[in-house]
Amino acid sequence: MSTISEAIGFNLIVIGPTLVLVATALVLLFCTITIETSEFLKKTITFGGILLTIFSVFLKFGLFLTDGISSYFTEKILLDEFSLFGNVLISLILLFNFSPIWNTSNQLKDKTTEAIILALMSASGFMLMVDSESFMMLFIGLEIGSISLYALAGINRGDLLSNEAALKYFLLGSLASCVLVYGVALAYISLSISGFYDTAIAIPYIGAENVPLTTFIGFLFIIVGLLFKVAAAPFQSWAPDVYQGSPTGYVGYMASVAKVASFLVIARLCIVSLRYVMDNFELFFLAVVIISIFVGSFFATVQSDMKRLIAYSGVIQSGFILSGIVSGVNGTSASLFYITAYTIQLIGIFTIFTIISGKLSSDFSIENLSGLFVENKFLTICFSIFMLGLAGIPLTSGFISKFILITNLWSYESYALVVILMLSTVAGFYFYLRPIWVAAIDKPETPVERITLKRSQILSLSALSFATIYFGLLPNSLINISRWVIQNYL
Amino acid sequence: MEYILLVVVFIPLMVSIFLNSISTLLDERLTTFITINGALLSFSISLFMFGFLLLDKFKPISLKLYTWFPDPEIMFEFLLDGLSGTMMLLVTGLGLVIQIFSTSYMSGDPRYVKYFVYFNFFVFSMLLLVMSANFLVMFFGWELVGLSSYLLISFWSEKKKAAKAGNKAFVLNRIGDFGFLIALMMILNTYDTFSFKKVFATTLINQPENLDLIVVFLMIGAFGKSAQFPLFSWLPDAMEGPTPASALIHAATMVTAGVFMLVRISPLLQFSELSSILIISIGLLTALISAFAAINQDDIKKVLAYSTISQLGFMFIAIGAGAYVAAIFHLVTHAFFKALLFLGAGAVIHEMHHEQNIQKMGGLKKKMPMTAAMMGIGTLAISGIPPLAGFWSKDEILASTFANGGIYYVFWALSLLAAFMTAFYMGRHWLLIFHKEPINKIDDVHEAPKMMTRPLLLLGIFSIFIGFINTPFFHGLEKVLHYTLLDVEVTHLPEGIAVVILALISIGAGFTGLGLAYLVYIIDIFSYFKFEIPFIKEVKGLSSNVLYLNKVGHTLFVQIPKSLVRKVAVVIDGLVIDGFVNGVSSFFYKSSKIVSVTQSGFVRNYVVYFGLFLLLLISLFIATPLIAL
Repeated sequence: MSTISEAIGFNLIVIGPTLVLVATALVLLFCTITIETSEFLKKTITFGGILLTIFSVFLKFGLFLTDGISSYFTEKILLDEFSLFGNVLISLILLFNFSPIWNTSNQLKDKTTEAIILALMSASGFMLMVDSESFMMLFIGLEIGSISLYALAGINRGDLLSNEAALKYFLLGSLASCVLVYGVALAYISLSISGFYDTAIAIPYIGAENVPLTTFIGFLFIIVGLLFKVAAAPFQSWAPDVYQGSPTGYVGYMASVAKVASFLVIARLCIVSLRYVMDNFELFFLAVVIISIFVGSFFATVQSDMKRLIAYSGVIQSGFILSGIVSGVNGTSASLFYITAYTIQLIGIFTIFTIISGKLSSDFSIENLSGLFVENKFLTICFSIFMLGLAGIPLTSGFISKFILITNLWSYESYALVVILMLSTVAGFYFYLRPIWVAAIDKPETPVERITLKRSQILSLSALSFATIYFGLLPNSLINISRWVIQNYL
Repeated sequence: MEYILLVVVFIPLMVSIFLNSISTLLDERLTTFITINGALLSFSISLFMFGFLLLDKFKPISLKLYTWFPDPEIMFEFLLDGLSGTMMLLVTGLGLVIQIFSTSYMSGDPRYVKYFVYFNFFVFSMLLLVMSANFLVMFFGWELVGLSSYLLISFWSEKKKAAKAGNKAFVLNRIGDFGFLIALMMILNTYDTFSFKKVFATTLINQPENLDLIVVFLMIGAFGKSAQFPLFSWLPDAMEGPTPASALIHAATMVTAGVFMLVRISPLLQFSELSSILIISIGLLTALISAFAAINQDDIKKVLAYSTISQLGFMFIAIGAGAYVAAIFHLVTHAFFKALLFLGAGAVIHEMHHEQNIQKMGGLKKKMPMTAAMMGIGTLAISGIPPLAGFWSKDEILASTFANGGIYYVFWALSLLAAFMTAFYMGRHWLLIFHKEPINKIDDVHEAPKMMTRPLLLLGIFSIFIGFINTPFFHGLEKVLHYTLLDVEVTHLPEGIAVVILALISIGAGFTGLGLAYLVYIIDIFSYFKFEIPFIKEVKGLSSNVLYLNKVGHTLFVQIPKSLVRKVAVVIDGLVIDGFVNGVSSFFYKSSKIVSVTQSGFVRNYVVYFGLFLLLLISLFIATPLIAL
């Protein structure tokens, strides 16, 4: 038995986070359908599950120290720096989104646990996705994660916008998955490669010029499927509608977790698998980056709904991150820094939106923010920090991430891209600073209602804004981490 | 040990934040208690640090707080050597004395607490500036002193003049800061670091090509902050602020930041002949112009403001001549006697019920004997009468300039002229306020309260004795600055009998100036002899209007650009940009129907776009090799 398990690389620690999340979801499900369980107990179970997930990520670090980069389960699951980085980020996203997710689900009355289970399952899917070595596992992880997100988007069945968002997300998402799995098939039939390291070995073995076009188109399709998930233009059309329609409490989680997982996979594809043939993809990525930045900037300026605005800003940020990933190893490290900083700000902003607007509401007009400063100074300050971070004002992590990204591009000699990114940063000030103006300076016409904060909300918001400032002042630690991730590929 | 540096720097900031955050709870007595004790604490800690430094023979102490950015390494670091130690003592010590004076001067002001908030914030920024160990931290301090100076100038912002003066100071300082900023970029580009130590070490080994340019841009920054020609017109206007604040900021410390910075970069400066010549000539020009302008001013504070500019000119002369020790020496002595003069002027203004015209004063020496005596000491000190402080430092500057030889003889002669003019207008200043027969009734004028006269007394004592720290017989300051100027070639005093002769000449200039002022303004020698100087009216007009430089500057830099911009605005903005914007908006309006089709929200449309764009990108991918070829 042990020899067989050794031969196929059976190791439960390496899929520990996924297992823990699934187990937590199952325990919750059991509690719901069999015995009457108090809210408090469910909350404890969920929170305990998340903490246990983080613990099992630590166990993976231990495994990584002994084994190094290695694959398990007959080359299905991969353990490398990217997967560790992704696991840490996803579990932290889950931890910091716990408060908005739980508070939102609480208002769903009979469907509370259903929503929590969906959130946990999607996290387990994305964990599997960043852990995957074979493209089929990648597809399975992506589907587990995404399908839970589709359901999460439409969980508020009373709201028409929410239903619409879920359906749209589902239809377009399945189209993207379709493209992705088609790409996997193309890559397999043309070169019989089915994994990241397969590709990394096969391409230099047969020589970059001998790789058939079908393989390239296969990878193009895989990348397009992932680009859809990160809402990079021209595949961004779902994002504003879905962000706007979904219950506000879930959007921060939905947006960040899918982006983190997909970007890590794209980074791994570019750095590990396709590193010898990246020249062929240069123009493709350049087009995607430029379209993303233009489309995002163009539409973000005219939005009056804050959630749509953040969606379009996400399109721009995707362009930024992508520009780093495709310009060399150092650029990828800058992108990893960028995505961490961006995730922190994104979660913070949506936590604030959840607090202000009521959890299940779908629209979030910019007028909802007015008078925030009179009402709650703490929220306004946090909100300003996150928005300034997105805009890239110095002393926030947003500035540092843009700075190292652009300096890397400069040394990579993509001057045109540098100019475009700088211009979009300048244009971004307009739509990032306007909400701050509305929240902090504008006088509200009608008296604003009182907002009381829970202790958990204060804690998580102050932690997130502290992180934004901290990485702006002392970016060293995070820079070192992001360099550690790519150190083997330098 | 080195972490105590942080305490010195951040105590004033803490006091400032603390006062601001509980400002509603504070009355005047409590505010006074907090701020004076804070200043006392920070002064005693700096004294302790200076003592520590003294015992260690002024070996620099540096503190690397943290690395802000790894590559190129940008750190937050502090440095305490002789130079920053001297400045630290000066800032905290004078800060303490002037705050004591302010408690009395500002009492009754509705924004009493705010004043001390700004004041402490200034002290913090100044300490940050002088204790910095790299150019970036220095720049932070540099900007923050500009900000706090702006806040204090326009402290009484309900006065339109004060608000305007604040703006003017801010804008003119910005021009200088722009130079500094460019220099910063060039430094980072050339040296890959901001740290003083590394930059200086690299420069010693081989000088980069653009060294001249870097130093010139840094110099522009110094000119803006230290009010040198042509960026000097903000300083006289800055006198709209509270007088004690003027004493600290616009006489003793902030305006000398430029001098401090140039001494700090002396390792770079010594390799740049061009900037040395520029610095000495502009310093000289400034000294002469402002000394001339001070002669016919009627505002008690404006005379002092022009005299400050002129004395700063002297410091720049010293730097240009390579006499860095003399520059810092003059900075120190000037800080004391000019603070004394300003506080004395503050006391006079306070007792004269905010009358600032010296022509309307006179005879105050009987009413305010203490103030008169102390301002007398200040006047003698600035005129260079031995053995007061000003004599030693000014004489050292003049002698060092002379020692360079060649063209520097001319510089020396002109500096001597400026020194003579200094004695003349300062004599006039004192005599018109305290000695001349009063024109108006001054029966209700009394001696200033004790909280004002005691700081005056203290500063008076210092103005007499501070000069002994660096005489030709005892080179105290030179030892203090030994490590700072270790690799710098410093001009020394000439040897032997020459120094005595030079000293005698400069003493002669001082006495002549004072005597002439007495003859002209008290005995009124011209009308006594029925002697008329030709063109006296024109000369007076020139002096009181500062050679019309401000007006020329105003026309050249404000009015002409304004009308030009207006014309440009009508043509370009009205026709071109408005037309373009209107065109764009109408284009969007017209095409909104077409655009709205793309944002229909229909899934089927989105799917079609998805497919279309996918096809487009694939064709782009396939076309990549063709395009690359």
